[in-house]
Amino acid sequence: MNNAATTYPKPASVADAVAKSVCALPSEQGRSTADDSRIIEKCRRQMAALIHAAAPEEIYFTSGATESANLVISGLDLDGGHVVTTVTEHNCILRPLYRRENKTEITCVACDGYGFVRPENIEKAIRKNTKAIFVNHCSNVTGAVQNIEEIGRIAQKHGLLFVVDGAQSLGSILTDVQRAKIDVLIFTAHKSLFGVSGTGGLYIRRGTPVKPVKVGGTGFDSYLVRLPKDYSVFECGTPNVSGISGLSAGLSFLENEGFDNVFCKLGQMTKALAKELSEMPNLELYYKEEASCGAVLSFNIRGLDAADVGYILTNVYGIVLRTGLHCCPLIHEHIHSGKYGTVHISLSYFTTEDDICALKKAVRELCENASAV
Amino acid sequence: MIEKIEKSQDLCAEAGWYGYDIMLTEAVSESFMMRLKPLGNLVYLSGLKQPFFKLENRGYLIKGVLGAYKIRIGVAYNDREVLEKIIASIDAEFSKENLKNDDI
Repeated sequence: MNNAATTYPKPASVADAVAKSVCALPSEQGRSTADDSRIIEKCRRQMAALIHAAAPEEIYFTSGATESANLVISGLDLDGGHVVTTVTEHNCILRPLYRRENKTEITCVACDGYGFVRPENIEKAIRKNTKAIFVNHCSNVTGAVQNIEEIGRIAQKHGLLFVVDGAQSLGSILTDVQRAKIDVLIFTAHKSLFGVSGTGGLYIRRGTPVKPVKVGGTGFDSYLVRLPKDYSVFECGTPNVSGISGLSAGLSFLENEGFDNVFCKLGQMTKALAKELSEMPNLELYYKEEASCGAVLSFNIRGLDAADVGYILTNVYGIVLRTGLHCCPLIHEHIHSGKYGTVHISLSYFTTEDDICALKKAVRELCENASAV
Repeated sequence: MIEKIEKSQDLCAEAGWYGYDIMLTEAVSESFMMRLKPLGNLVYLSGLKQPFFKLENRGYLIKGVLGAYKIRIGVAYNDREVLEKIIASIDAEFSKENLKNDDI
């Protein structure tokens, strides 16, 4: 029940693809007589199709959402300007932004008690020197899904760059970079896309002024020791072929199952679980049906710290989940979850009815006993 | 007695506390838990299939479930001195517990 961190299990085809890649004749994109580039380019096409990118060349692979966020935030010209972001952001966005707070002003827009940010509050935070808006598509704490189409419209209206963190949403919620007018979308492979840890990437709309931060071997124009200023190189060094093979297999699995089926199953399971949890005594659920459709739920049990609930569920009932602040330091004040954060349940396409029944039974027992505290 | 002390794999779990898992050679009993009671305010969920306890005091906490062979210690700011004091107290209570059992 900790799939928002890393999905488990993975489809067998993902393990097979990674193993096959490890056992194959080594090769690097553009740098070997053997050719692994087909799998990398296939994965680029799959990712582009998933998010409705105009071209596969707008997809770049990295080690995950954190590296992607660092590359984007360091690669954008934000000096002397202002950015708007939200209190729902993960530290993968907040820390790279706050590291440059002496050069760039930051406004964090508040959310409601369920993690939902009103787009009009984002618009109100825009100033004359605002350069970009950073928004977490789906809160990894409450599952609240932001109205990125409306926020994208606002960004476009004000001529601002729109950067979306899709780490928690891709693979569980429809994400369309065209409809939402997204300039940069950050993603990771190891969550709902069923890839392996250490793989992720970013979409950069063609023409978005992000400068490459990393330089090194690219497998082309190797005679140059200085990259031309107009180069858009976001991948250098030997690519993570095994990780990308796993991501490609994860995407193929989702394609075969049907994205709509996957989104629908996750949505229905989460909604049904939320309803049952909300009816349990002493349980506070940070969930609002209208705003939440990510496969993530957060709760607390009155009288117990989140960490205690997690400890009991793991050590007494054998249920693994996550407790604490979930690397989101700012949201908890707004959802009133206290200094110890929340208990966090996250479902996967592979979560079974039995898993959910076991969880409900354990949480109910805990809620009933908590009344004695 | 204490067999091994391990840094908790999930440091984040205690939301700011630094967690350590204390592996024991014997299962945690109710009488052992009661011996630890002077170390902090007790929260005790006796109705669970394996009862849970937590002792909380300024700067640290101790938690576990009866019947398990481990307990967790959480220490604020990773204060090693506090951690060592708690471990010494737990060790001492274990010795007393064993002495009591030997008397029987």
